[in-house]
Amino acid sequence: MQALQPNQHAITGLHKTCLLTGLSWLLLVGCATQTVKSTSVTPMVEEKGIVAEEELLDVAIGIMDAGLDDIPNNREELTFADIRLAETQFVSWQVSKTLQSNGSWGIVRVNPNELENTDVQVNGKIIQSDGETMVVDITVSDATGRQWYTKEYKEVVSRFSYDPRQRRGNDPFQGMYNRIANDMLAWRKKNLNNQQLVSIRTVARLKFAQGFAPQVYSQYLSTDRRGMTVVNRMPAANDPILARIDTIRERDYMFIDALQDYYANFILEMNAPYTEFRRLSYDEVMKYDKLKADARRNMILGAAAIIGGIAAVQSDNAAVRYGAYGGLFGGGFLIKDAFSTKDEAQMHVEALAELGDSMQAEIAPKTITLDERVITLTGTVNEQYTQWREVLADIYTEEVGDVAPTTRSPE
Amino acid sequence: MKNMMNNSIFRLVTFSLTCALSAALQLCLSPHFALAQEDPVFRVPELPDVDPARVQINTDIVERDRSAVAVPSFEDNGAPSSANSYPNPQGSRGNSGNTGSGSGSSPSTIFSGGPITPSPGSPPPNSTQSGPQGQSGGFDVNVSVSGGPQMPTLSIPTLPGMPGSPSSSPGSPGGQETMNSSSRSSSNGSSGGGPTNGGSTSNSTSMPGDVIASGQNGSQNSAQSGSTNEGSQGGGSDGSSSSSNGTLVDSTTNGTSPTVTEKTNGTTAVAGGGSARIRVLDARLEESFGVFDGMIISEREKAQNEANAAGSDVMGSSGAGGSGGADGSGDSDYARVLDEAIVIASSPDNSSGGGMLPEGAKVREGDFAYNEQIVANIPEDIPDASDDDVVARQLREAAMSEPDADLREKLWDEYRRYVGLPTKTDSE
Repeated sequence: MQALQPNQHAITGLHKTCLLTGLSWLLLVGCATQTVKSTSVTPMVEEKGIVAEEELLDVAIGIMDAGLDDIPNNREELTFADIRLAETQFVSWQVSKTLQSNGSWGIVRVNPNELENTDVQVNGKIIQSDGETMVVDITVSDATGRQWYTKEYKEVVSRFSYDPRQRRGNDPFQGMYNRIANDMLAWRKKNLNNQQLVSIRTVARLKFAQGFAPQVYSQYLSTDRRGMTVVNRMPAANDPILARIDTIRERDYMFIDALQDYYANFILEMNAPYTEFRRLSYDEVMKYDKLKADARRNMILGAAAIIGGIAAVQSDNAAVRYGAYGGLFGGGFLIKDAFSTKDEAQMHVEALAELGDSMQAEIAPKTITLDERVITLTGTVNEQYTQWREVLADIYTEEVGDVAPTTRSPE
Repeated sequence: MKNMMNNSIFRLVTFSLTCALSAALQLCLSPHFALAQEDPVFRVPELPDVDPARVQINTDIVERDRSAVAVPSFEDNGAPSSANSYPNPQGSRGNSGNTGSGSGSSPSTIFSGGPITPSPGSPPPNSTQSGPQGQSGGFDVNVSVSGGPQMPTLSIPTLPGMPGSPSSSPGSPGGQETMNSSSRSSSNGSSGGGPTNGGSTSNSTSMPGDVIASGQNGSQNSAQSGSTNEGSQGGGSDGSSSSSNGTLVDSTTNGTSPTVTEKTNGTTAVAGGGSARIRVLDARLEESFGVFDGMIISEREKAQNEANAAGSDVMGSSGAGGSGGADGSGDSDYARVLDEAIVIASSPDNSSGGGMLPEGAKVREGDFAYNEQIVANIPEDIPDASDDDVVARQLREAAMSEPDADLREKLWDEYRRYVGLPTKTDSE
C-alpha cells in the first residue's frame, strides 16, 4: 500500500472534520422544529337555517378526564394535579358555552353524571395544558349509541393571546373550542338526516322513561346487531305514564340547571386567577422550552466538536491540529454551557412550581367544594328519583291492573 | 305383687307425664301462643271480653288481585255503598257510620270508615282476608301499612268532627272491645329536612296497646306500601284499615314529602278503586314535584347569591389591583362569566325562577318561557359599548340597571357628557 503523503493526511483530516461538522449541522437542523403561532381565532360556523324544534339535539358535556395518567415524562414537572382537575371543569364549561352560543343545538349543559339519556354526549380528555399549548381528545356520540367521532384538538397560542385587547373577552384557546363546535355541526349535517335527528331525540326520551319505568318502556327500545339502540314502537301520544315522566324530565333539566349555577360560580371564582396563572405559566414554559432546546443543541454541538477534535487532533497538519484543539475547547465550552442552560431551565421549572403551588392552594378548596356540592345535590336528586320510580311503578300497577310483586315480610 | 304395684304406679306416672307433655305441646303449638312467642311484629293488646284463643293474626302479605276485587264505591258522604262494603257483624264497633276519613269529596281518599261488606271470595284491594270474617264474638284487624320507608306520602288533614287525632287516641266510649292501633312510619330526611331527602331511614314507632306493623313496615318496598296489608282476625268486627275507632295510621315522611294520615273510626276498610288510588299517587307525585322544585329553586337562589358575593369580591380585587386586574380584564371577565352563568332555564310552568336564552338559542317546547327578561332600555342615541372606557362603561351599567326613570335619564346624560355626546338637557 502506498504511503500517504503528509499533505494527503492533512486533507483527509480536514475532510473528516468537515464531514463531522456537516453531520452535526444536519443533525441540528433535523432536530429543529418550527412552531407557527397565531393570535387569530378560528371563527365559529353557525347554523344558517332554522332547525325544527324536534330536530334540535340537546348536548351534554361530560366533565373532561384530567388525563393525569398519560402525561409525558418531559411534562410531568410542568403539570399540577389540582390545577388539571380544575381545568377539567373549566374546559367542559368553555365547550358548553361555545356550543350554546352558535345556536345549532338545543340545550347544552355540563353534566357530571350519566349522559346516555341526552341526545348528544361529548366526552373528552385533557392531554396537555400549560398555558402555551392545549391538547384535548374529544369523543362525540349520541343517545342511540352511534359514535360520531373522536378527534384530537391542539391549539398553540402566542403571547398576545393573553393580551386583553386581543382576547376581546374570549378564552385564549377559544379557537380550539370553536373548532370543536364546527366539527360537531359539520358531522351532524353530513351524516344525519332529519329522520335520524328525530330518532335520536325519541331514543333519548324513551331511555329516560325506561330509567323511571322499565316495566313499561323496556319493550319500546331494543339494540340492533350494530349495538345501536333503536325504537321498536312508539308510545301513545297521550300515554299518561310518559306524560308523568316528561314532567319528571323537566325536573331533571332543572337539576342540571342548578348544577350549571354551581359550575358558573366555580368558573367565576377560578377565571381571573387561572387566566393569570396561565399567562405567567406561558412565559415560564416558553423560557423553559427555549432553554431546554438551547441546552440540547449545545450539548449536541459540544459533543460533536469534541468528537471531531479528537479525530483531528492526530493530524500531522498543524493547522488541523490547532483546529482540533479549538474544537475540543469549544465543545467543552458548549457542553458546560448546556449544563448551565439546563440549570437555568430548572430555575424556571421551580418558578413555575411556585406559581402552580400558589394556584393549587387557591383552587383546590374550590374544586373540592364544587365536587361536594355536586355530589350532595346529585345524591339528593337520585334519592328523589328513586321514590318517583316507585310511585310510577305503583301507578302503572294500578292502571294496568297487573299484580305487582310484593315483598314478604320475614316471619 | 309389690313389683306389679310398682309397675302399675310407674305406668300411671308415665301416662300422666305423657298427657301433661302433650297438653303443654299442644298449648305451645296453638296460634295464639305462637303469635305471642314467635311473631315479633304484632302485639295484640289484652281485650277483656275477647277470648285470646280466638284471636288470629295473619301476617301474610297477600298480593292484590284486582280482578277479583270488589271496589267499594263512595257516596258523597264518604261512606261506601252497602253493596260493596264489609258488614260489621256485631254492629258494635264504635262509629259504624259514615265518618271515614277523606270523604267522597276528597279524591285522594282510599280509606273509609263505615260498614264494609265483603264480596264473596273477593278480598278488597289492599286488604288481606285470612279466614272467615264476621264470626260472632271475634274481631278482625287488618293493618294497612302505608308509606314505605322511601315513599313520599300525602298528608290528608283530619276532617272536622272525626274522632281521633294524631295526638290523641281516645279509644272507644265505654271501654268496649276496641282496638287502638297506631302505626307510624316515618322517613327521616338525610339532610335536615331537605325536601327530597326522605326515605333514607325508616323509623317505626309504636304506641302502647297498638297493633304494630313495624317489622313489615320497615321491610316493605315503598312501591307496595299502601297496598300491602296485614290482617288479623278473630271475633268481633272487621277493621281492615290502618286503624280502628279513633286511632290512626300516620305515615310521615319527615321533611321530605307530605304525609298520608288515614284516620278511620269504627270498622273501616280499604276502599277506593284504582282510579282513586292513582289520584292519590298522582297527588303524591305533584306534592313531591312541588317540594323538589322548591329545593332546586332554593339551591339556585343560593348559588346566585354566592355568585353575587363572588362577583363583588372579584370587582373589589380588580379595583384594588388584585389578581383579577392583573391583566386589566378582571371586571370584564367578571361580567362575561356572569353572562355565561345564565344558562337556559327549563323549569316547568309551576315553578318560579327565571332564565335567559343565549343568543341564537331557540325557544322550544319544554323550555321555560320567561318572557319578562329584563331588557335594558338604551336610548337610541347611545352608541354601542365597544369604545367605552372604564368610566363610560360604569356609567352605562349604572344607567342600565337604574330602575328609576328620572335617575336613569340623568345617568344617561352623565354618560353622554362623558363621551362627548349632546345631552338631552342641552338639546332641550
